[in-house]
Order: sequence, then structure tokens, then C-alpha cells
Amino acid sequence: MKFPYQHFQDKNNPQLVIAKPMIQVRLSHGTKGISLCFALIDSGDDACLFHKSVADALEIDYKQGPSREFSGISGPQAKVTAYFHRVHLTVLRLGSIDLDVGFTDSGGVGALLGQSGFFDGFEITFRRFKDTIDIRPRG
Amino acid sequence: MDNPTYDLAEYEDRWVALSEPGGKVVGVGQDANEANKAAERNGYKEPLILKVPSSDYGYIPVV
Repeated sequence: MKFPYQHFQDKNNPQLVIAKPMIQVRLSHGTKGISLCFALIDSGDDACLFHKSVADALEIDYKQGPSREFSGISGPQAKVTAYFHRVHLTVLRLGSIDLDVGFTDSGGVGALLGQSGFFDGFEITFRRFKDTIDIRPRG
Repeated sequence: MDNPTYDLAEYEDRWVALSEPGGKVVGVGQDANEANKAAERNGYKEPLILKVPSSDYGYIPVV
């Protein structure tokens, strides 16, 4: 199924529009589900990471899960800690998988769909030149 | 294909709840839960939650 890139206008340069591979997903945990959330498909991310407030909405005591530390180009001095929980993720109009998601209080993390879990469960083809992302359930 | 351009600069680095993809902002908060609850107070039970990216800096994955 094809999904469009989402476009954001740059406040410093109205002529500039940033395209991001974001799709609508729904997370649920037990009987609790958060409303639809735009999540960034991030092939450079080792894992799926969400802000802890998403865990709050799911009524998950996020620090009770196993933890793992992450860092980026700022190096290990800018580590963030994520706590992992098994959740059910639905890609709207496509399908659902169960996967482990890390929750963190880092303000730099919104909703990221990374390699472990998301790319395990779906076949993803970026077609930026066509402004679409093709996502299929894993065959 | 539905492909709106969002002009959400006033909400950068905050979370918003949209009425639908490309729709109006119906809730704002410092996190997803706040935005979701604000939308509920405004009568929207199924909003679309989004962390608004900043245009002051580019994005590179945390990992």
C-alpha cells in the first residue's frame, strides 16, 4: 500500500517544504489504545521509540520495562534511556503487528519506527522521487 | 493521493492533535497525552497526534 510523505513548511523560509516519511499508526496495550499518532519511519534507528507520554496514555508504567541506552551523532554524552514494552501497533489501512517499543522521557523523541520490530514486520520501500512510501506486510 | 502541507510553525517542538490528516489543530500540549486530552475536551475523541518537528534544525536519528 502506498502512503504519502507528509510535508511541513519551514518557518524560516516559506518557500522551503520539508518532506517526512510519516504514517498514521495506533498503539494499543491490553484494552488501552492511544488515538492515531503520526510516526516517522526511521531506517537509521535501531529500535522503535516513542515519548513516554504515549506510554502514559496507554497506562504503561514505562520504567518497569527493560532498559537500553541510545545515542546519536552527539556521541555518548547525549545518551537517552528507553524502557521497552510489548505493544500492538496498527498501521492504518494496512495491518498490525506486536512489537517491543522503547519509551523515553527525551524531548527529542516523538514517535519513531525503527529497524527492530517495524522493519522486521513490514517491507518498506521509500520512493521519495514519487513522494510515496510503499509498505507491505512481510511475506 | 492526499498529501497536505502542514504550516504548524507556531507549535514547533510541541505536540498537537489534528482533527484529521491535513485538518485543523484541536488540541496542543507539551506531550502526547496533553494534546490528546485537550482534543477530548474540545469534543474530538479520535484525534491524530503529532510531535511537530522544528524547522530550526534538521533531524538525524537518535541512534
